[in-house]
Order: sequence, then structure tokens, then C-alpha cells
Amino acid sequence: MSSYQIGIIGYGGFGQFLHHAWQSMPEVKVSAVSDQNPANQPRDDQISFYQNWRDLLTDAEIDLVVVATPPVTHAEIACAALEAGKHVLIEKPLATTIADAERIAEAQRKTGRIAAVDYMLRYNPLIAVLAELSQNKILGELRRVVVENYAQDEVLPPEHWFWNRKISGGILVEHAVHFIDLVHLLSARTPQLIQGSTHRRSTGQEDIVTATILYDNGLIATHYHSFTRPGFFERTTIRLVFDLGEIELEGWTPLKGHLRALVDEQANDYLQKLPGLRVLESRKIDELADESRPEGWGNTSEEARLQRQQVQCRGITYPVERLIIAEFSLGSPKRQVYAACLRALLTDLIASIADPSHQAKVTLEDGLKSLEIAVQAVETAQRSLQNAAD
Amino acid sequence: MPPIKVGIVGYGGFGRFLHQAWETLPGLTVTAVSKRQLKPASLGATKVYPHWPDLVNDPGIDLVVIATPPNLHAAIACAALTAGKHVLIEKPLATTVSEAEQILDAAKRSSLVASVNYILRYNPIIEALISICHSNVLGQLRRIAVENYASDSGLPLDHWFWDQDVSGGIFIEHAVHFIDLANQLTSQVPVAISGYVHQRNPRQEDQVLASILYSGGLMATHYHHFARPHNFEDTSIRLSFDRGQIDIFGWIPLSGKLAALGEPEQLGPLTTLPGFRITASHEYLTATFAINQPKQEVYASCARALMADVIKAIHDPGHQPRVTLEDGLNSLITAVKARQASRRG
Repeated sequence: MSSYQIGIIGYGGFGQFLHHAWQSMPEVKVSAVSDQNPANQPRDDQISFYQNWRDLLTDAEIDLVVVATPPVTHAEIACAALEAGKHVLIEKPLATTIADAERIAEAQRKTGRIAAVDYMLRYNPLIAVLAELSQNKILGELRRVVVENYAQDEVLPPEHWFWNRKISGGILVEHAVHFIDLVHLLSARTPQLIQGSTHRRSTGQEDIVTATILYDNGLIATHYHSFTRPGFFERTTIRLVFDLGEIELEGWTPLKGHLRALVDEQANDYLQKLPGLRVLESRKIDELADESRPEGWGNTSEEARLQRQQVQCRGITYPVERLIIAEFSLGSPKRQVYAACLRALLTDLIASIADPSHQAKVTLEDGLKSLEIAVQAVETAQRSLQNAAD
Repeated sequence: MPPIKVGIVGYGGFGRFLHQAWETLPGLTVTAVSKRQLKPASLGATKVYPHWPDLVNDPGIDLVVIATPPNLHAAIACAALTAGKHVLIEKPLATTVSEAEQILDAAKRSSLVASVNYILRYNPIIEALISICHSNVLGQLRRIAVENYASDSGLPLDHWFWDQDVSGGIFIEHAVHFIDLANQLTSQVPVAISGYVHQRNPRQEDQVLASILYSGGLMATHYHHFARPHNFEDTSIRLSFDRGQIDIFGWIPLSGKLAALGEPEQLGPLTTLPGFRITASHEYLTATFAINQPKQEVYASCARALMADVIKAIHDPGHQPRVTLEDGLNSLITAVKARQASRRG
């Protein structure tokens, strides 16, 4: 089997982690890396090292270029790589502006090479099950997504490029795009209204951001990101609320979660696909008490009393039999899960290179759509701060 | 002291619930209620007035409790204050800011007690949270996220709840509870408010979200959704601080959990949470808390505590009820702005 030669441009922490994750894959070989900083040269002298990324692109052996540089440089490097005949995998965000992202899309169309964005959450086994559950409406309509992400800033000193919006695009562009894309995976709807808000710890550090997006079917997603914590105190939850239940994922690379859902037999069977599912409680719905109105309020409505094997959610009648409370877990540590996602992504990308009819889980279009929303959130946040100041 | 004689205007589900909750409270008697469709003499010794002005002008009544649909609050409250009655007004204070201001004006011209039924403020978990937030034990409060999935089983299509001219809509009728709560947790003021809504059908706007940025960077999100069956409600409120987070569960909060950075001996105010129990203490501390009573009892005891506070203020001019009309107005202003913002979008 011929092995694919990979060149990684940007060999800082993330570039090195990609390399590490892919080392166990026989079908690929990282044969060159590029970094401005000579201190980042790998010790392995089998790997060519270029301080100037353009030199890496002239390396005829390389099939696939991975762009893991700071975001503002993505477009220039990705376009040059495509034009040099390479396939590209671009770390998120695709770019920091829509114009730049469109340049990449244009270069991809012109060259016919494969280009993808590193939305590795799509390859997380929990996300994969939940995406299918959502798309097939196993728990009814998805009404709400709430991302609460309290991340560490220990490795992000004030002078880090992360805080420089001209380089990173800011947290909404650099980071929130992962989760904006996740919503798009769960429910491919059109955004109708987008509003962002931001707060600065100091002039240079905009460390708290939110974006709320109303989609055309009434789905409302709220994204909250704060980079303010020590590493051991990070916490991320992603809550998905459907007509028939809620599922909460834990960890920014989701590792486990819990759910509470009204299910019929089919939905109950489906939930068994969740890795490590453990049912904590299962009760017939006619055993559940009406806790919505306190005593003295009057009778439970006729409608409610007649409900036995079905419920009304948002006016839709769903057949259900049981209430299930359960937890689930991948049972592996974060680094392992993260690395496995990166391997799955690369495998998917290689399949696209080998067979143009292969449908990859993530496309350039996905990168562009999520970036559009993030950029609008940034713009609306700035306007609302302006209005508040006036 | 003779018991305070209470008249309840609006004797639907909520009015009846209040009446029942207060039956065990000393210091008051409910002497009259008012409801249009109710027959006189149908409640034994309790007088029944089909028309509220007759109750408001009953010289035997000291305190008028207003539990009608929201759009009637201002007219009844102003009439009651003018007639020399103390008033306790179910939230929202009114459906418009100008009507709410009329109530404040009428109250200012009198020396009567006037309060708003923000029942959450008397919940022991909320009481502890307010003092935790102001103690700074977990550092600055950065985030409030209210997620409220309520039942619509008792809210058929023709219920006034869905009629925005009557209720004001979910921002005004319901979110004000939690907006007031946020206002109590911080001394920051709102600087930017956005609102989002979705309609199930042209009559039922059943999903709303308000997002509020406060002056010191606190960000609050209030999500309310009235679409669930009666046995499948879910409410959580998450507070995140620089050095910790607290999650509380139940729209009448009954339990919760927290994580905090710091040594156990430095966490004094946290231990005032009912049923506080440390579950782990390694790199940081985790704990749970709970009021070990069913929701209905907690709800009723909050209603009693609130009424006892109002009665105390009636007897003692130096005592101010915990919930003021200004609180009712401030939360209403934010709710109205969120609703307006949702219309612009």
C-alpha cells in the first residue's frame, strides 16, 4: 500500500500533536514540517524541516499539506498549497474573514484538489451517534443547543497570538466555530438571527464571548466561551434539548454524558448505540406524577389525564412508553479520544483523495458556513458594544 | 394584633393556590375573593365579588392581592392604593413600563405597603445564593444561564397566557422571575439586551430567549420554552464565577451542586446552602445541596414567607418588604426591552 506523504505547516503544540496522533497510521507518513521557529525542528532527521513554508510546498513528494498555523495565515498558505497541487487539511477556523475563506474555496474549485477543515468533533463517536439521532428525529425535534465552555488560559499568556484578534479572529472565530459547526451537523437549518456579545478582561484580552443563533425552524443555540480558568478546573457542557428529552455532553472533546428522555421501543433501542450506556432509571409514563402545578391549583387538565401512551410536545403528539434516565461514556481518556478523532479525520480525508465520489464527513463548505455565523456574531457584538457606549 | 383582612382579586388556579397556602399562616384571614364567573356565597364565609371594584372598595379589607391576568394589574393596583389598601401584586407588575410607573406613583403618594410576588426570593436556596454572590467567596459572577422547559399541559390554545395583549408574552409574564433573580445576584446593570422568539403557530409564541450583557461583563441568558407535557418539565440555573460554579435544579429550586476552588475552611458562605454536603475535595471542592421537601411544600412555604414579610411591613412602618415595586419595575424594563429586541430581529 502506497503511503501518503504529509507536510505539516505550523509545528507548534498543535502541529506536533497531529504528528503524534498520526504516527500509528501505516498509510501515512509525516515527511516534512515547517515552522518559523527553528527550535521547533523535529529531532527525527528523516523529516525535512523548512523555516519557510513555501519551500515545503515545492517538495514534490508531499501529497497532503496540513495547515496548522495561526488563523490569519490559513488562506494564503492553503491557496498556495492547492495551487502547488497539494491536497489540504486546514485547522479551524478555515480563515479569519469570509473573503479569505472564499479564496480557499475558489482555489479548491480551480485545482480540483481535496480540501477539508479540521472539525474533529465530527469524528467523536458520541457526536456521531447523536448526529444521527438528531437527524433522524429519534427524540423529536431539536429545539435548543447550549454550549457552556469554561476553558483554561494557563498556556495563553497575554502576548499569545490567541488574544490578537487580527491574527486569531477572536474567540468566536478561532474557537466557537467548532461548536457552531456541531449545531450545523445536528440540524442543517438556516440561521435567521445572530447576536454576539463580548467582554474584555483588559484592553488586550477579550476573554468571554457569547453568540446566540435563532434558526428558521425555531432552534435556538447559545454558545458561551470563557478562557479564564486553570487547566484542572476546565469545564465544558453541551446540552441538546429535543421535544422528547435532553442530552448533556461533558468535556470539550466530549467523553461522557447523561440523558433524560421519553422513549418508545424504537427510540429505546436507538439509545443503546450510545457507547457505555447505563440506564439509571426507567419508568412507565403513566407512573409519572404531574409536578407542573402545585396542590390547590385545581385539577390537572383533562388533556393531561387522558395521556397514557403518548405525549404532546409543542403541540406534536408523540407515542412514548417510558421515561429513561441514563448516562454514557467513551471510557477512554481525553488525549486518546482526541487522537482517535484526528486519525479518523485523516482516514476520511484519504478516502476522499483515493475516491473522489467518497462523501467525507466534513467539507470546506462546512468550514465556510460556520465561519459566516462566527463573523456575524463578532460584528453584532461590536455594534451592540458601540450602541451601549453611545 | 387583629389579623390582616385579605381580598384576592383573580381566583383562578394561582389565586386558589395562594389562598390554600395562606390558610395555615397566622395574622391574616382571606375575607373576600373576586372572580367574574364565580357565584356569590359559593365559598362559605369568604365573600365573593363578581366585580373587582366592589372588593377593592370593601372597607373591611386591608390588603388586596392581585392575581388576575397581567394586563389588569395596573388598573386594580392603582384603584386599591387609591382606596387605601395595601397591595401584593402577582408578577409581572404590569405589561407595560408606563403602567408599572403608574403603580409606583400611586404607591409613592400613599404610605401603603406594596410588593410584587417574586416568590423565588423566599426560597432558601436562592436566599443563600444571593448572599454567596455578594460575599465574593467564589470571585466575580460571570455567567447566569437559565434553562426552563415548562409544561403547556394547562395552557390550551385559548388560554390568556398565549394572548400577548393580556399576558405580555413569556418575557414579561414569566422571564421576569429570573431577570429579577439575576438583578439580585449582581450589582451590575444591564447594558445590552437581545431577544429571540419562535412561534409554534401564529397564536402561540412558545419559545423565548433573552441575552443580557451587564456593565461589569456578567452575561445572562434566559431561555424559556412552554411546550412540555406536565410530567416532563426541566429547569436549571447555572451560575459561573471566577473560582467556581453552582447549578440549581427546579423552577422552584429544590437542589443543586457546585464546584469551587479554595480550601473548605474558606468557603463559609457556601455552607449556608440548605443540606450542604461536600462530595469531594481534591484539586477543587465539589458539593451538593437540597431542600428535602416536595416542590409543592416549598412553593407554599415561599408564598407564606412572602406574605408574612408583607404583613410585617403593614404592622411596622420601619420594615420594608424584601421585594419592592422598583424591583418589579426594573425586571419589567429588561423584559420589555428583550421583547422589543426580538421584534426588531
